Amino acid sequence: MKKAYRRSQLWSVALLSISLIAAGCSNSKSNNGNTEPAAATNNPAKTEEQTDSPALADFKGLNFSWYIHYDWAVPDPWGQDPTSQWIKEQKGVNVEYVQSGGAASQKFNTMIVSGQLPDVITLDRSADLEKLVQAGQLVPISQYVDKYPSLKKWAGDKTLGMLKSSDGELYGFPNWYGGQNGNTGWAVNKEIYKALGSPKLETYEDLEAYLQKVKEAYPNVVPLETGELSGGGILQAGNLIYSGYGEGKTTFFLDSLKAYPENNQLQSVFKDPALLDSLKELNNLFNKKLITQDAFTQKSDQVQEKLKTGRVAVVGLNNIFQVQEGHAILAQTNKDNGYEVIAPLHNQGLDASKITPANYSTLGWNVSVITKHAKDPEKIFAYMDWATSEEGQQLLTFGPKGLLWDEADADGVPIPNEKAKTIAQADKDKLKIGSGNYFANSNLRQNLINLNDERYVEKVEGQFDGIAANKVLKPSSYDTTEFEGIQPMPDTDLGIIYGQVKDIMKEAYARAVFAKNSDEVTQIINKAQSDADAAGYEQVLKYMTEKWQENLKKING
Amino acid sequence: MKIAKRVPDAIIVVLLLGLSFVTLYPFWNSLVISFNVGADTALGGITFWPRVFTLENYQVVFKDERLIQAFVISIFRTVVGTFLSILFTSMFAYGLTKKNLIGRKLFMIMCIVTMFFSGGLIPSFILIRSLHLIDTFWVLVVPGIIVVWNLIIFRTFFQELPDGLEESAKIDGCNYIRTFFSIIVPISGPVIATLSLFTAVGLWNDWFTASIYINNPHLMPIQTLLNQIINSNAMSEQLSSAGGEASEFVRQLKGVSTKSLVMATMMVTTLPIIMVYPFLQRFFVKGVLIGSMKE
Amino acid sequence: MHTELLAAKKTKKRSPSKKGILQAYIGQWDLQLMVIPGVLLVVLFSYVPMWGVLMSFQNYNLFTGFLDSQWVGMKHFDMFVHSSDFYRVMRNTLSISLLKLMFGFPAPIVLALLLNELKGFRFKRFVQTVSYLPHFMSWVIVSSFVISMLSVDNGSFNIFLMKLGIIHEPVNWLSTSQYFWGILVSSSVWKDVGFGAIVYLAAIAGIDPHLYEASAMDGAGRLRQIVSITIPSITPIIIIFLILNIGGILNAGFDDILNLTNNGANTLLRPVSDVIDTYVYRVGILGQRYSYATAVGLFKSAISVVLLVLANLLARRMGRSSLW
Repeated sequence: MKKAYRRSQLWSVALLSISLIAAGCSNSKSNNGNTEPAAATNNPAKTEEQTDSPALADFKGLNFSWYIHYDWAVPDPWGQDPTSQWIKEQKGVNVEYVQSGGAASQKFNTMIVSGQLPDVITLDRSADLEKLVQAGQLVPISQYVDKYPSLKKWAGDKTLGMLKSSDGELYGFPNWYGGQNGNTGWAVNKEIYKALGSPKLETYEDLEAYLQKVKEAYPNVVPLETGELSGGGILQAGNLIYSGYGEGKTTFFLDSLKAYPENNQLQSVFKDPALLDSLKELNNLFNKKLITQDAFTQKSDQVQEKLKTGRVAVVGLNNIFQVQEGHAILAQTNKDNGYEVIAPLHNQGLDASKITPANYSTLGWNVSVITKHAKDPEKIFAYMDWATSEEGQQLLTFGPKGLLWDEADADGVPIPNEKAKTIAQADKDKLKIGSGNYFANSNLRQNLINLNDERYVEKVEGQFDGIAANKVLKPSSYDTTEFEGIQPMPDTDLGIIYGQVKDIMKEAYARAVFAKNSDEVTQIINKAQSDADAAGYEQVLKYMTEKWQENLKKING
Repeated sequence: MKIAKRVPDAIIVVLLLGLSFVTLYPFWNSLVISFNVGADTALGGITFWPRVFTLENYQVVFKDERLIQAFVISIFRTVVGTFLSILFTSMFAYGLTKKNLIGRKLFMIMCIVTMFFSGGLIPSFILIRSLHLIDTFWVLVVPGIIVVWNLIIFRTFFQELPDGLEESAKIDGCNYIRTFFSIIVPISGPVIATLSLFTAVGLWNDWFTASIYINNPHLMPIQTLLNQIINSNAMSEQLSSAGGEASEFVRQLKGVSTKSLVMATMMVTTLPIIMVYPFLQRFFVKGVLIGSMKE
Repeated sequence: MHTELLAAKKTKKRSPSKKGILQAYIGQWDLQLMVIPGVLLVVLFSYVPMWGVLMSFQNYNLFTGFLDSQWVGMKHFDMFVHSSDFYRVMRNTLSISLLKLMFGFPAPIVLALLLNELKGFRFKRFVQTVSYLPHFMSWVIVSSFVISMLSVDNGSFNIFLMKLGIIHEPVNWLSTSQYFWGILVSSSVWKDVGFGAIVYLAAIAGIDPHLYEASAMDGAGRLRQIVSITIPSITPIIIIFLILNIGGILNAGFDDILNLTNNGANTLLRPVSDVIDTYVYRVGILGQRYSYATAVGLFKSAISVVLLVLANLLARRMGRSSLW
């Protein structure tokens, strides 16, 4: 049975490689099309070989339990996919996953209560992390950082400094750190855009005129698609519109922080003229039915359905790479069709080069911490450090050597083998390459992918142009690292106020978009500001300002 | 006269046909989607019949080695749990119908209180741990044996039984236990069938208990697995709209789990329990009670 | 009658008047043996963890544990009752619950009665099975059906109404607050009507067929039979369910509301969709204020018990079956 299974897998792998060229790489490359990585990454292989090797053998025989603190995390048993199988066999590392069972927060609470924490926990840099620190449950990894080569080298002192907890110790091993690209942006449907004469699309006036044209010429097409509602209760295209109403604005201020910096102070976002302007514009577009009328109710299935059937003319999304699948389908029938990322739209009279809807933080996404239950924390750290090294990232990004690549070139870039060229995307997906990368080293990884793409992947006509997209996105990205971790913990008094303000925001935002006219929009936002004041938002802003200033000190040394 | 009699029949049939349509359609549509190619499903517009037929979704589901084991656990849990629950709950309920039971009112109130007040997850977890039930099969069964809602239904039904029934047994000197099993149980087909169904459905569908108390992957019931799959599908969609670095990672995770696959998994996990009801329906035929009384 | 007398006699014989309660207890060992396992299970799994409700009077801290958490008295209750959302949450909870009671409670009874009137066994079986299918679909899946059906863009419901000429342009059903209660109640009735009917079908199956035969001989029509035989026979179970439903009136729904509002993200609907349970989830669980969540839960339970006691009292006054 097992043999047959494995054989069929290999067979499908082989079959599948065909489309790696055709479509396969569009996935991985697109996000990182930028070809100018940080200087340090220019020649990863050589430097790595010299520095990484000595410490590598240190974790043979390591065995640890690992809990990934998300409802959605369903890791396959260790050793089942080729990547973890390789680590198990070649590196002698075994992992026992603790499953969240779809009830992560309850699971986490019971683990704490029972004192049975797993050895490693991967979680957001959030209140739960802070609680673990305060309860003294974690092993500081600061003591190991200098002894091992990779994290220190790739993350750098500033990022590690910012990751430190309030007690000055470093606990979290970062994941997807170092990246410098945001991916919030606009895209247009190429076919429709061309058919309507490719008009200038720079300002909101251009946009409205174009959407009007679309509506007349294509009654079945959604002129402006906004995606599903964001977690902050904001229309994704609304984030972009907000950012285009002022220089130095970014999605993060509106969607997450609910505050914006002005004169070294954080101000309530309700006072931000860009918010009011953007809501008036959205309200205007909404009332003229130029924007998807289901903006507040649709789910991502519906959005994807519209994108894939080409019934969207312009779209603004927090992650504009979400148009890729739709692009691939449209380009199949007509290689000139599909979606193209365009430079951020903005209000007339603003400096286009200072419009920055996209944002990134060099701290990355989440962290992995080692608890005091771990028998040999240093060994675990050694493993993590290896995973974030070049060899580790090669493995966790491209799969084990001998599967889809046999050799790496002089820069450590894996060269796709025959199998890789013939494997079908669906079968490639089944190999789950990359799914266990919780120690992602963004710069190194992006560089490897870019070089791989550039050197070894044949270009196919009609393919989504991720490199061009990133050329647009990179200059419109805002570094929000300095605002990391400044929000109050949700169960503190300030956190409760902050939670109320977020709710006020969500409700006011929705009502403003649906308002009868722009006067009503103004009223709603003024009311929201006074409600936020009444709730005590000023205190929260003061607190966040202080934390932000501390961060700036950390960053600037 | 004849027409006048038939008209209401026709109305009833039409009404029920309408109801059947609206209740069947979403289920049918899910079934159809589970037989459609995932990439094509995403284009929408699939209604009564698959557009690009495939068995692939089911192949993927059945390839998952955890699935068969989870099935076995679920079936075992449902059968054992339903049996124990019906046994103890019905006995308890029968006892509560007897006015001379010492502590009757106290027991009843005690049970009703638990419908409204509970200590919450953390104290329960501490209890289960100190009973050493964590990561055992029994945690999936034992804490849920007494279902107060069922207890009340049982009691109501037992109270409605004709009084004459137990008389003969009493005269023969049977004790309560004997009376219950030899007289009450045989004529309570409909209510036992109903509550067995409710209990079985409840046990089969419960994913939460295992997600908290079970770490051993070999003891995971099927719904916990399904819930994880649905969750990872839904959550990864939320995350991928979050932007930032996580989004690409999440897209990789999501790759395999399409809507069609989720639907196939749902079908595989719910069809077995749905099949139980048609088999129980023979207990709902009129006259069961009377037939047994005559014997 | 006879049995009652008999039972009364027995009760007397076993009553604790003379020889003490212990002896009476031993005398009914068989009866006690039947209830003891149940009582013990309830005590163990429901009452032993009951100390958890005390967390609502604390600022419970996971790490320090129950004994070392700070006691704050009624603070959380105070906060809830005086919070700006209180009025809205209570109003929505009660309105949605009452609507569900009005439509969701009788619907399965009507369905069971209709099914009972069906002559063809196969068709009956078919309808029975099919109508209970929606119970097995999770709200995640059901809500995506409802949402796409009601959407402005290509939503089948809007297309249908437009073809019939009832509306001229698509209605934004889920973005308009006045439609929400209707959508919520009808989808939850739809989901559970078939499942709910089963227990009434079981009750109907227990009715003595002789009753129907006798009334048919008296010349009673079908409607008469339903009104004078079927309904009275299932009244006790209906009353019990009604009492329990009144006790559960603060459970206006959770999964259904959360999913139909995109996990609460659809804030246009929040003024009409925020009920106690969604509020607890949003503020207590997502906001990680566990003690607060417990306190609101306790508040809810206390009111529920009062309602239950009142409903039960009323049922007893009217001489109907009651819970205790």
